[in-house]
Amino acid sequence: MLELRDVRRTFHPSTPNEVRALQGVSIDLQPGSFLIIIGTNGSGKSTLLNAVAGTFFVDSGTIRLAGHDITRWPEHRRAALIGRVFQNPFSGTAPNMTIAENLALAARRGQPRGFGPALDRRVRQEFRDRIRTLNMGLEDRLDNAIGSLSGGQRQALTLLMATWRKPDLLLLDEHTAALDPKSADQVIRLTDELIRRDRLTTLMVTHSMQQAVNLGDRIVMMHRGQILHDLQGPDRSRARPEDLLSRFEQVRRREQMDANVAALLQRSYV
Amino acid sequence: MEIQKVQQAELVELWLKGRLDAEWSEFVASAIDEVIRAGCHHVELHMGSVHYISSAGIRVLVKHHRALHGIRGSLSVVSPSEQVDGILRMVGLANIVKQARQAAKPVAPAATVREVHDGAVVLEVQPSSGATAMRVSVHGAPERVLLGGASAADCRTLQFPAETWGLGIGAMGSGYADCESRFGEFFALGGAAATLAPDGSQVPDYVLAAGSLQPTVQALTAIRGTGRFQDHGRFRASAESGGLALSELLESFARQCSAPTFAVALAAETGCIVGAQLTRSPALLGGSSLFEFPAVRDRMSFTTERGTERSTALLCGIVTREPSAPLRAHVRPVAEGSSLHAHIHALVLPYRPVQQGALDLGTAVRQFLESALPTSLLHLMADDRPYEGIGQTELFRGAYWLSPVERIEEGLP
Ligand SMILES: Nc1ncnc2c1ncn2[C@@H]1O[C@H](COP(=O)(O)OP(=O)(O)OP(=O)(O)O)[C@@H](O)[C@H]1O
Ligand SMILES: [Mg+2]
Repeated sequence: MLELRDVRRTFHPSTPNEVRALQGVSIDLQPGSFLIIIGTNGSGKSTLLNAVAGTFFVDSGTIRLAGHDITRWPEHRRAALIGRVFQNPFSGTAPNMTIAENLALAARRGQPRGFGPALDRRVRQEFRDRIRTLNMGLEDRLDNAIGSLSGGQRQALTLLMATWRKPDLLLLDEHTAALDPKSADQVIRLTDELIRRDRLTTLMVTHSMQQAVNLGDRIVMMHRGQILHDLQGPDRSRARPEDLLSRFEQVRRREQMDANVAALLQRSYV
Repeated sequence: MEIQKVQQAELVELWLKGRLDAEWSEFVASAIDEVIRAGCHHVELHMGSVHYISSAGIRVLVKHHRALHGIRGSLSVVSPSEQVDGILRMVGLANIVKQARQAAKPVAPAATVREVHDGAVVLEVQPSSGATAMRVSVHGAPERVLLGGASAADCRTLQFPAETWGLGIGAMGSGYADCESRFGEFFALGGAAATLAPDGSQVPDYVLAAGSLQPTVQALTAIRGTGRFQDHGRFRASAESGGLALSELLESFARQCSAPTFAVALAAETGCIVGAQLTRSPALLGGSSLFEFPAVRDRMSFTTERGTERSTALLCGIVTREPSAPLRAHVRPVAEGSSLHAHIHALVLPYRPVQQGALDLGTAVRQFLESALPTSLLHLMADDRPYEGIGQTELFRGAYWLSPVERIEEGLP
């Protein structure tokens, strides 16, 4: 479904601020596969999602999605295939528009201008039915501005909008990190339900090891713009949060190993 | 709930006042844990002023009674209130209730146990087992393997039945080809052998001798000792709360031991463990040195920060004042400023107190491995870098076994 081949992206090349954010990332994602991405801060997780979404073009490598080579597609063209939820609950929706208007935008996405449902009675009823499944009591507030909702409610709505048209790929970038624990839990539950129900091919970034082992069917750990571990099948099934933490600990140790430690090891290891 | 702690010679009294219910049971449990972690295995709970105990409280009593009983310690409830006494009898725990005067006093150490105070180290020395000096063989060429890699010719099959110990670089499998990518540190003691595959999984695998099953290791380099240990006892730090640096303890053993070279095994409650591990099989070095920087980052892992977590570790190895061939190639200085050279591996397990009194090595090893899975296996070393160095492995207390080593043979390939 999604195929990344040796994807590279360097920010501010040949300047003192050069950052090699992606250094040859390759991933093959089968349809319906739910991949969790973990990694230290700045390891390139968000950059990877941005590269797929088309926030920028990659320097080299190819990106294929649902049979199309989308490497050179602009962001808005990819949006027809991709649903996306960010960490910030305020970024996925238009705050001054009502819930119904936002949903109408989502329902129309990827369709030629002027097509798609107008806000007639039948459509409003459909919105109400779908929103009821969130169990947040929002079905009676269709005409309230999104700006009046809590972070958790917004994130749930954003998720509903991002998956409204069953996208070929769903991108979630720490979409519960800015929420209080109870709302985060609600949104995660909803995420899991929607992805399972529609068998959505998903890339989800999280900092929670608990989420990483409880959700999805594959875990990729990134470090310095590369994939360090790719846990699938039995390796994935038996991974526990403490195993993932221990892998982070190894990364940290690796970073601290300098020439002095190398000399110490040469003196003391046998 | 209020708890007052009274330290007696060989036991700790905890005087409880209040309700021992769900709300307070964890508080009491951690007070008991603290006593055990400080090295005391006999606990009396004075419960005359406790007028209510719920199932949550009973659970704490049962759990700690079992745990202490398992290491030949004891937990008793002394002179409980009528209410608590009644409940404990109803649930069948009358056996842990004692009246104040007849409270079980732990047996004093037998007169034959000698206590040695040696600087920061206190040793309780048990009578010698009468075993003769230990036979030790060394195998392989560590320098050549670590500086360039190995081939099938470096691999030898070593068995580790009871009354042997061993360490080095090895793996469990059918031979060199099978083990090529899995060679890492190995550890063998008391009828068990453990290996750590260098795949970052951090899960040592192990085999316990059983029936005709003998732990067998394919080794690239190894030191192997055969025979019973001669001396046995307990060690602890003389300071109440302090730990011992590994070199302090080894120096003290060296003073106890007549021979310049000795084999040592420990079952120890530890603080920080300082050591290194392979994260890539040296068989795959392909001619380059293991220690080459920066490639070493992908080949070895090293403790670079002092953890505070307590563990229990089994250690074994060899220590010498006079590193001469063929042992020389297999040992390194223990720490800066120490006259000793050593090679010691540690198999780390979750914290569990080490039983007091005389302890059979094979039984101890078996009990540890049956109670929990090992969490790590390391080559111990001191980090004496001038600024960032984190020092040495820290030991609090435990059991030791020592044997002088008279002759060291070069193992046949
Ligand atoms: N648009 C940009 N311009 C310049 N540098 C960028 C840009 N986007 C990301 N970077 C840099 O690329 C590196 C990877 O960033 P990225 O946001 O992908 O990390 P991340 O794994 O998502 O981290 P976090 O866990 O903190 O979200 C960082 O060093 C970051 O500063
Ligand atoms: Mg990010």
